[in-house]
Amino acid sequence: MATRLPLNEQELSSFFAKGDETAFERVFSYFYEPLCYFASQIVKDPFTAEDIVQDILLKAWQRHNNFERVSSLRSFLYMGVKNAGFDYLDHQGVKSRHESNIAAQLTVQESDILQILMDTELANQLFSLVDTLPEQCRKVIRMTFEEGLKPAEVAAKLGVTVSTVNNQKMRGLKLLKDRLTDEDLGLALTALIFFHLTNI
Amino acid sequence: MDEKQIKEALRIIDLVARYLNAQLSSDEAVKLNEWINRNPENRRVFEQLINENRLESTHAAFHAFDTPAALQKVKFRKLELRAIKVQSIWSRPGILKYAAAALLILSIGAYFFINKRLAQSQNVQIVKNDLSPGSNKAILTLSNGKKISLTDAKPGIIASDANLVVKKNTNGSINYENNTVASEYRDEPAYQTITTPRGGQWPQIELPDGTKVTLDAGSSITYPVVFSGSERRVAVTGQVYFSVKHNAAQPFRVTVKDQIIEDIGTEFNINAFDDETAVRTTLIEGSVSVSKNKEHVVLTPGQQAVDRVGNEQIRLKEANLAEVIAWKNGLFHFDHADLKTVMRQVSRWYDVQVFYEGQIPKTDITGEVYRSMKASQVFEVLNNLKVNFRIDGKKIIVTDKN
Repeated sequence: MATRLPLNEQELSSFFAKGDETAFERVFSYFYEPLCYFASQIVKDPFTAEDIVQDILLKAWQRHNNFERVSSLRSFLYMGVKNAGFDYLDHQGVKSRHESNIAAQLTVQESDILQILMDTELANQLFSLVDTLPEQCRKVIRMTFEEGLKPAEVAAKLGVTVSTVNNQKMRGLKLLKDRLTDEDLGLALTALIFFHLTNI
Repeated sequence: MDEKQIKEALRIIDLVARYLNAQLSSDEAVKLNEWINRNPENRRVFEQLINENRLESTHAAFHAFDTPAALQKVKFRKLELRAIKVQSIWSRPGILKYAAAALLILSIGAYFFINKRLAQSQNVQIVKNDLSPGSNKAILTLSNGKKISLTDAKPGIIASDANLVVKKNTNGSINYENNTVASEYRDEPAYQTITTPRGGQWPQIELPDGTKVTLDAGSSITYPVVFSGSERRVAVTGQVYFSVKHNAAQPFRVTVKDQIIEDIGTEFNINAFDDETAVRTTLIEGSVSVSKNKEHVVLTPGQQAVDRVGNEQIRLKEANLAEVIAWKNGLFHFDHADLKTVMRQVSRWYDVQVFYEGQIPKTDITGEVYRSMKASQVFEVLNNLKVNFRIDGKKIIVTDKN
């Protein structure tokens, strides 16, 4: 199962050194969704966004020994997605000018892109830990805190009892707390917990 | 927007994330503050960033994308890339052509499958439960007979035995360290065994002498906790990959079935599964000798010693190294394999029994498939064969379509 576990340098050393399979999956799972979101904000088409991101992740895999640290890999990925996104738009622009003789409308400004990139990466870092919870737990936590649903509503949506929802919620929060104290997961603590843990 | 700007933006994000997690050091706080106060635009960006609703809606939008499906798709694209790479490695032009073609066919079949998403599968029928691939599972048996699950053990010291402690590292590797607390002395040698079940493997074990071993599914290694005396002697079953730490004064010897393999500082793979037709020792690097009764052969890198069941003689041949060590890299690799060869590997890795209904279909299979796929997906890759696979609980029934 692909989960967005926070990345750590040591675990990824085998990716950088020899393009290790499992490490590649970790990189892929960690970055895929945020990069797709980022790309889709540029190209405004989810399918094109996914193609772009898959290409760039494969490229990163082929050039694994060009990277020494997660940070260099990360800027390569964001940079690559941004360039590919604008290349795609340019191409579309050329096509539409060619077809209708009207200048293509630029839908994104470069300055907006930087803000979107920052939003994306921040959400990725803050929320990646929640995504490591067992499925049922994760669903309950998400519905409760992200969608703001009441236990009864979550129960109805998932087809379980209210007490199951409460149990899963407690379990999820406990798991998150444990992981945080045990491993000092650095950047991994979620904004969600930051915002909500105190008022439960 | 250039690379420098992106790097700077990501650096700021790292600080903001630490800020939100209340993990900012005073140094970092100064840096973040300095950036925020540099101009009103930065302050505006910062305020937008830490807006809870904005963060959550960004994160919610991530879920529109399906990571597992995409990963699967990319894996097949990697398979194609690999096919191109393989061409340059293989020296025999005849095989090369077929292999490249077959890999391509496998990849196209795989693509086809992805698009179909198993909806109207042609040759795979799942009666009861698809089969998950094997995973990291092993049991350590201490010299006193006590059994410890390496899978469940938490990282840290997991046992002490004789004058050593066994340690599990966070990446799952196992190694030994001197036990500084209680050094109990014993006369008789103490032996430990690590065993993997069918459907299990253990990627890295470092023996007390520094030798590294990898265990495939349904395999084991038995070794003394202390390598004393004139040799380092271990015994194995199943399939084991060795990377031996050289010590001329104390040669490393492996007993497998009725053979003794002696290493002279080296990497080699032993395949001695009971259901295989031969014991195969393949040398990747260095030098080893293989002995059995009066037979004695010395291997050079790239060679394989084949000791067929019922044969007195040990035969030497050039090995296909990619095929031999594929398992260690998480792959099934077939080079003109027949169906039974393929199914023996499947049966060990998915821990299933294989039954043939009617004739065993004649096939010639070449290509690579990831071991991390479910059984149905592996069969789906074999789509172009005229063979039906039926998965029924822990059984796979194979039928010829002809």
